[in-house]
Amino acid sequence: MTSPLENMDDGALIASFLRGGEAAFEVLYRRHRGALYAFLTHLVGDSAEADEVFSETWLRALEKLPKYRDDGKFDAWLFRIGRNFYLDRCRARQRRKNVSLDDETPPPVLANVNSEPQTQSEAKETGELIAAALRKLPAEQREVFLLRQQDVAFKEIASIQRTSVNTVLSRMQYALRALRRELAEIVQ
Amino acid sequence: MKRYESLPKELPVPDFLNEKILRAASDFSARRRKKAAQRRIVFGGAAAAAAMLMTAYFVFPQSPKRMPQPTIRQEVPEWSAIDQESFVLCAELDSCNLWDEEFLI
Repeated sequence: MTSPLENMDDGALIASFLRGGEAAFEVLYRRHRGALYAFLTHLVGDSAEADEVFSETWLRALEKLPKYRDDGKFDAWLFRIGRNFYLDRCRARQRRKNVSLDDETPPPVLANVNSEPQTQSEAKETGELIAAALRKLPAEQREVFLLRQQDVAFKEIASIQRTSVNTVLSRMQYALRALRRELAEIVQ
Repeated sequence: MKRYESLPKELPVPDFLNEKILRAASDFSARRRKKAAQRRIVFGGAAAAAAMLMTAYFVFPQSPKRMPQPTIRQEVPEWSAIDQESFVLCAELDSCNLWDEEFLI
């Protein structure tokens, strides 16, 4: 039996929470936590750091909730907060250590994987290969791919990345080309 | 894009993160309730104080210094004509020692 809160849209849940309904936030959180966690895990690459970015994203979202304007894009708003926080961390780290933003150790590649996933374990392995290939992409391209995977519109991605839609489309094109090349090499 | 569907769109969040964030939300809600209660006290108190001042101004008398003192008039009753004649007669009788036997006869 679903509670009435489950049928409320994100804007109504936020309004209810701001009026004192803590249960409304729990519903909102459970609705979006999986997607945000996946986005940040694939974006950040490191699970421990992804955990920190994830929790900080929600803490910042809580403080900003009273000013949130409901436009039906709460998930994109969350991704934007998480992405901005992660970039700030990278810049701070770069200032401290003078390390390139794309300086990431590529994970080991799994061998003997079929081109089309037939079973759950094969799908999981393919997913891991894609994740590994993603981490080799430049940060902006990786970000575009992951946001698009979460069904965020290109126009919204452009707003998040503070660039033009054409630039976003180019980044997506380059990302797909690189992933195809990377995965084709692995399959072969 | 079929291959890319193997990349999960959602991932399970560790329990410790769920607990941390839900606790933060509860604290946030408690802080908001406290602030709202404090605002009600401040505004309610200000409104009550204003009401009390207004009441005191209209109900209670102001200090005597500022209050204009009513002039007290001592009204002197008007004597009637008979009273005046009696007064004069009594005064004559007192002064003339008329209470001797000669007048009483």
